[in-house]
Amino acid sequence: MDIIPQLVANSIIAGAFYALIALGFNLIYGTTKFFNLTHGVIAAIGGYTVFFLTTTFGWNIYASAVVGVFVAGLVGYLLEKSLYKQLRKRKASQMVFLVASLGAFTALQAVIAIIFSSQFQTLSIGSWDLQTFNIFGGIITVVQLVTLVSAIVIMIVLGIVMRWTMFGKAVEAISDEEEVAKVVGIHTNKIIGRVFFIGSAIAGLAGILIGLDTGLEPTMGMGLLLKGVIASIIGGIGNVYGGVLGAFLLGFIENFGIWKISGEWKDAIAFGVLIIFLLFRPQGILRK
Amino acid sequence: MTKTNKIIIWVIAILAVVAIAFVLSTHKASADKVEIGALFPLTGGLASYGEPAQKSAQLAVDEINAAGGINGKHLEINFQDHKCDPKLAVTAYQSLHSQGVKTYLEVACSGAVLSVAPQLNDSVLLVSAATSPKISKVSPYVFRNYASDDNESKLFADQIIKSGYKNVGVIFEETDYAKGLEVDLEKYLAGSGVNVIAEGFTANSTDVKTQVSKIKSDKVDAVFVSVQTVTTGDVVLGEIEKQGYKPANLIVNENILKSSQLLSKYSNLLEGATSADYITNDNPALTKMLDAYKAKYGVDCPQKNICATVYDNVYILAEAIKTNGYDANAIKTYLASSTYNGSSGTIGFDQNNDRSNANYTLFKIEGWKVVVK
Amino acid sequence: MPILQTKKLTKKFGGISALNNLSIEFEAGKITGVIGPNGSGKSTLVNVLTGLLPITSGRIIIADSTSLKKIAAHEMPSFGITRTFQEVRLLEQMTVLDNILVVITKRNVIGALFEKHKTHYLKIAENVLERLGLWAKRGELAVNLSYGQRKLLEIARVLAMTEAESTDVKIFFFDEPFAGLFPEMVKLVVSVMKDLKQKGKTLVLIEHNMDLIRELSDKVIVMDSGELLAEGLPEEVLSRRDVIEAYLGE
Repeated sequence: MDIIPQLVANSIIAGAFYALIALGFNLIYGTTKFFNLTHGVIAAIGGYTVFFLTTTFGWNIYASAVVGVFVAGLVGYLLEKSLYKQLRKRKASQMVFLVASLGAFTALQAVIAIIFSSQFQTLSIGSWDLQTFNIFGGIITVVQLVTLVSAIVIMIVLGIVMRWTMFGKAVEAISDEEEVAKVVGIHTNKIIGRVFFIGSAIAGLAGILIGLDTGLEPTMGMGLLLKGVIASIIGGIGNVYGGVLGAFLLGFIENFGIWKISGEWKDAIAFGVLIIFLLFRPQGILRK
Repeated sequence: MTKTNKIIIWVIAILAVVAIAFVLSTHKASADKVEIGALFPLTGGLASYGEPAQKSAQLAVDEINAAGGINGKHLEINFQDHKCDPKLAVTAYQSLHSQGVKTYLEVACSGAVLSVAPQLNDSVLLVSAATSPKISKVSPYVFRNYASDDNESKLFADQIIKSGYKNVGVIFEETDYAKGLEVDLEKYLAGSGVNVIAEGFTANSTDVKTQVSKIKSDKVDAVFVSVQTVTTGDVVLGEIEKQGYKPANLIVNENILKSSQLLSKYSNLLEGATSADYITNDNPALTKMLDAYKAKYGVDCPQKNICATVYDNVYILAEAIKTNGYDANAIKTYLASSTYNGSSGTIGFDQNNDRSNANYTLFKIEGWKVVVK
Repeated sequence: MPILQTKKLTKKFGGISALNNLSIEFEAGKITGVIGPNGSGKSTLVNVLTGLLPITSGRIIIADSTSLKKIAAHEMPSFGITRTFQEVRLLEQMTVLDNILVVITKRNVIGALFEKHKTHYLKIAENVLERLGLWAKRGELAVNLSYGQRKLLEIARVLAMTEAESTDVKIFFFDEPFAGLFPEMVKLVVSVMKDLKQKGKTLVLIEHNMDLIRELSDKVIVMDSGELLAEGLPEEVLSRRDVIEAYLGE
């Protein structure tokens, strides 16, 4: 029975990582109704930027992380300006957006693999790497704790901004009726650009933390994206809190799900839950 | 863009595509060279095997060409990287096969071998370092110059029974090779009264927290870690360390044993661990090859048994082609019936197309070194 | 003095000219009615002049100083133009109050974080909504309002734009704003339009209701098949034979 605290810890840790991915993804989806497939590779870009700065220039990890988050945000912003905005202008269909973002995802991933090779790389915060905390019998590392705190803080801040500020109202207006928002003078493209920057920056942070926790691989993007998408769909697509709720739920379902059955079933369980939700409650638990 | 411009651009694009296709299709294996295809994990989690394999194969090729080639023709190896992914291996094979290549080398990654095997009907595949028992007799065209790890599982099982362990936990990766070891271990422990608790994880997964937690809380007498690559080895061992778990008795498969990176990073955890590997005996030919390797590349070969068997495989195929011609059935006959003396010793193939008399040896990890048990 | 002009404005959809060589003017501070049978291009004209559609050829000139080919939709308000929609476009999932607030408040991230004078904006919103009789419904989602209330909300939004800080709207396009309204509501909207004119605004009114056109317009433009058929004072234009025939002929 003493496995339960560790299982709980594992679930929360997994949930925290998924939550960071879901937060950015949901923000972008909620605003533009666009399934941004590049979200996963942008997380990788954040991580690899830090890897590049720390190994090639010897920067310390904290400064590199700040730059990494910014670079990830910038890449997302540039993708929006150069690609997605043009598609929106031509009133392209969802299908076209999906294909375009898939293309961008593949290209970016290939570039990362070329520059950094497909070898597994890890990031490190020095001697703090192995520092662990024992919380009610569950063990959690420093990086994992930071991830958890970040996820919660970002969720709260985003929630406040979306609900209580006019920027949030403008975002809501855009996601409601983009044409009307334009007519009332809201610079929709400018705001969407900012949304992409913020969402992508959060993804970058996620990538960096994952790099510190387990490591980086050019192909890490797709897996992350999938978990983020599942979390968003379960918890409520387009809802900032929903994504986080779904992420922790997914973490618990995955880890407790394999408590009594063999670990090989972990991914199957995650997808099984996704399918159940798509069939019976596709909008997720929390309304938008 | 005006309509005329659009049409012009489309016409140019189509012409370009047609031209490129034409050029590619005429690039067939030309008549004055002999081509062998190599399906290796040059990058990815087992690049530590693929890279020395490529070097020793090339060493053999250069020697053979310096001695006149194959009946006067130039020998070439076309290296393809499958990253230990069975799907990529099939793609690589098909791409080479469409260019007329009929002889192949492969190293490690049993999954890759097993997925390519059914495709072979006019090509021969000579394998090194891929140890899954399923490769034995998988195809009349597949020959394995290495031991089957069926042997390895039996050694571990015997060790477990001898040491009196009652409960054994296994953390394994879902690949043909890594899972195969787990399955065979259970097979050899059946009826012995030893209880096996097995926790699997998806290939290349980076989250094995709960699998490790479960094994840790089950309080087992020994833990067996079976991974496909150095990368996943890093993930599993890393997680064990993070959870502050120090298994009393640890058994690891050869992918961990043969990784100097893992041995140094997890030296504490791996101290005293048991493992096994297929090794070849020292002999003058081996020494000569290793010296030539060092002279050519400036470094020592990090995986002697892989360098030796791959080097020998190139020579074996060259001999087969020289004697019987570049035809799969003829080469198959040659391989099945002849013996060859190479750097890895005497090589012959048994009725399963496996190297005759190839066996595993148990090892124990002490300090950074490995010693025979 | 025309505040807005078109010169040889043409808009083609495929091979069909919805607007054909149209050269018209809108006088500052006046209400111009635009009438014509269905399919004459009235809505297309509004869509083009407010930037929702690109033009095929010709020019749009604002206030005689900037010569433009095309205006982007979100830039309209900065050029001082806004509009209502024939089929009523609101922010459906937002409240009545929010529909007005997004118009009148700052919207950049930094400014939004330091929202001062919140009561100031609420007061403006209250004034505007009271005028249209919608203040009581301010907490309702737009999608839940009745048809008439939705039309009034759109008028309220347009009125709110005159109070917006970051824009100075001078030209208002109304696309069939009276359709489906009860008589009391019609009176309300008419009074709002007259107030706007009092404030020196320029209004362009697309309508089928000739009585309202007569009551409100200073000048009338008649369109037929994408071209200018007639223009002039309401009394003159509405009694012309060709205008009547254009309508009867449909």
